[in-house]
Amino acid sequence: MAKTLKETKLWLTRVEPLEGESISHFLGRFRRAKGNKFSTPCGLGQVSGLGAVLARWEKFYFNPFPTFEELEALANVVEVDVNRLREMLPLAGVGMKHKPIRLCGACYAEEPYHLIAWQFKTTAGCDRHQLRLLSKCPICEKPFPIPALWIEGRCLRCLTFFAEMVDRQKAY
Amino acid sequence: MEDLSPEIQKKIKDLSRPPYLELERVKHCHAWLTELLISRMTGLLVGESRCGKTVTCKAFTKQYNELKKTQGQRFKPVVHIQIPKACGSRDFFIKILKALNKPTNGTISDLRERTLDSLEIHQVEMLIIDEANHLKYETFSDVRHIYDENGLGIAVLLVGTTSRLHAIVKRDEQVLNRFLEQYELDRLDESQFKQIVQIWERDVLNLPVASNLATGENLKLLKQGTQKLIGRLDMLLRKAAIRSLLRGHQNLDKDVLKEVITATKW
Ligand SMILES: [Zn+2]
Ligand SMILES: [Zn+2]
Repeated sequence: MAKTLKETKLWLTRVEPLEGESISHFLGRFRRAKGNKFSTPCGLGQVSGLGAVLARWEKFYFNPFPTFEELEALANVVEVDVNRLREMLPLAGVGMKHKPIRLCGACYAEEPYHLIAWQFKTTAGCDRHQLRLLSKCPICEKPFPIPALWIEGRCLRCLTFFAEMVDRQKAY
Repeated sequence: MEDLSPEIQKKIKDLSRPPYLELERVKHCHAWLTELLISRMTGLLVGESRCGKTVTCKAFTKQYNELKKTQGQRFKPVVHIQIPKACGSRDFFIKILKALNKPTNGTISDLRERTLDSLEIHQVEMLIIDEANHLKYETFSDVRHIYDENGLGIAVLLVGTTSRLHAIVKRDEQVLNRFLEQYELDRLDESQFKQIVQIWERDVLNLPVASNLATGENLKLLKQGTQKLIGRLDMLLRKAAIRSLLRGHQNLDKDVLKEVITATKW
């Protein structure tokens, strides 16, 4: 029975979440995965029944905070456990910046994705690299786009790669 | 229904579904379809309306997919879609996506990309486009796209009524050049028709008392009523059989048959 239920679900391509990855980055990857292809968050919003909420999550607007039912609805279509999805959100009681989007170029050079921890209010720098986070492109000063749109991993204005920005990061 | 015996009730229920019979002509057509699929070619399947094209394609799709079925895997080697009237690109992609259990929302470029990717991911080997004459002229470029796409290697079959499908294919030289293989499902000849009526009576209807459909006036009635088209024959016989049973007859009653033929407008 369980199998039949599963097979009547939509055949979407599963995308493996990465360690510490933010929900925005994950949703962007999921939407673009081969065979999924939703050019906007509303497309996935429709399919999951979450509507415009997903577009808000991609921008790190978590007010009101995602409910269990909402995460369950998303878990159903992306086929990722609810608890695993919960890890892509800020921890309970941790203040969250939805703007600006922040980034450690050294981390990105190692693993090209956005970490949810970079958006915590309490996070000032990268503990692993002892570097302060960048809040905008250090070359042209354009703010970083939301992580759901990080496709090539570079500044959309001056085209500098995020990984190269490590040279401009200050010690912390 | 209540005053009928359970056996008769079951019989009526069975007769309400189109049958599947391993007829020689169907087997022959399936062999051609298999060859087309294996060689990943394009082709046309033509024939008059109600000559059994759709039934033949559906049966082929079901059989081949069963054969290749691997548990829990999202494979669909043969996709059979039926094209609605005046079908544009969006509807065309939606039909394929539905057949593959995929979301059907988004912009037209989302749908196009999702369709092409899905054909690959779910390992589609053959796309059967039934009633292909309903495709809008512009939509043929999307059909071409599917079989021209390198790496996909998909066999594409266009199915339709002979004259209409030929007219459509001829409009577009690009299409014409690519759909060279053709198979025609003919109207049945006298002896084939008689044989099929016999098979239908024995294997599909299988009523308690013989109806002698393949002889004398019955056969004549059927020939006129169906113009020897297998799809029409199937519909007429099943309808007449159900009505006969409901009236308490033990076989297909000649008067009921006449009644059904007169009432049917093709
Ligand atoms: Zn770092
Ligand atoms: Zn820049």
